[in-house]
Amino acid sequence: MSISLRECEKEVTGVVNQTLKEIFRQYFGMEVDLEKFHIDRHLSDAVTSRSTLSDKDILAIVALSIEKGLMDDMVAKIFKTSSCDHDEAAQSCINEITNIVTARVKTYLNEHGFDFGMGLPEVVNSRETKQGDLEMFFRAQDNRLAIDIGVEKEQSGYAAAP
Amino acid sequence: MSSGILPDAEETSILLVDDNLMTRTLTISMLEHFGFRDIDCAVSGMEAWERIVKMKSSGRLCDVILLDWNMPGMSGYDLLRRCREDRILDDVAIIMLTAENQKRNMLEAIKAGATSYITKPIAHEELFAKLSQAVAWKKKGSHCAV
Repeated sequence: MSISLRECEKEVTGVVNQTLKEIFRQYFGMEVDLEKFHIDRHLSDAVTSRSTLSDKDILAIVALSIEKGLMDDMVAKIFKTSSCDHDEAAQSCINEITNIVTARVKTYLNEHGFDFGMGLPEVVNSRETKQGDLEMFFRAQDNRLAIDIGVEKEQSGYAAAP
Repeated sequence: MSSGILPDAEETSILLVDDNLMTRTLTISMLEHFGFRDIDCAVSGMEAWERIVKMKSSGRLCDVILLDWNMPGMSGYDLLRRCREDRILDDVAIIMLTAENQKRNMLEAIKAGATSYITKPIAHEELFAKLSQAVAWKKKGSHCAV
């Protein structure tokens, strides 16, 4: 079954929401509910992790940002009294969440005619994902968590799956 | 956590291979909750391979390997294939851990010799169930896919 990227948007929203709920419930004992926005809403003092999906002439970037206070709570739940470095712990948390969310999006898209490959997540300084053809902004936990997805195809218009 | 102690956990040795600190920390916590005491870790495919070769030469292989699929350098999938091709871990159950839940990946893993497959985020109940099966098969002397 072939679909265009624009047609994916609603389903990808569902995949991202469902995946994040699972992660936060199982790993952190927290409930999250994503809200979708059409414009970017700024997060202050946040850690950001980014991963990429690529399929021939399509590039998608998934960026997850978590505000410092929320990140500290999450690290405390996992690492408790562990003596490991806080920054390393925080980066591992956010990278793994980004990894799982991106992988689930990849699975959905590849089951609908695409053939995305996935890069490893990494912590970055910028939340920039703007690619032009499709942009999705999600926020949760009183705007302390953000997931941004940006997709660009080399030619104008949306990609149809092969 | 709802799952209890796994029978024979204390006598079962596990090698956990994952490059992510959070995943290792969480998984070790679950394993200890299930009653496992002999838990070793490797943070990369290459480190795991070197550990396995040493274990083999000392005659003390682990019983179960929990192996992350997606790692920099030697991936878990590459390590799995190497182990099964070299026949170095014929009697060891290898459970793949992966964020991807595509059927195609699951089949690829089983074809390459994985005993079973767990999709991240790792759920306590699923890890408990897959480890129970792996330990049971180990007692019977086989790592057939469960």
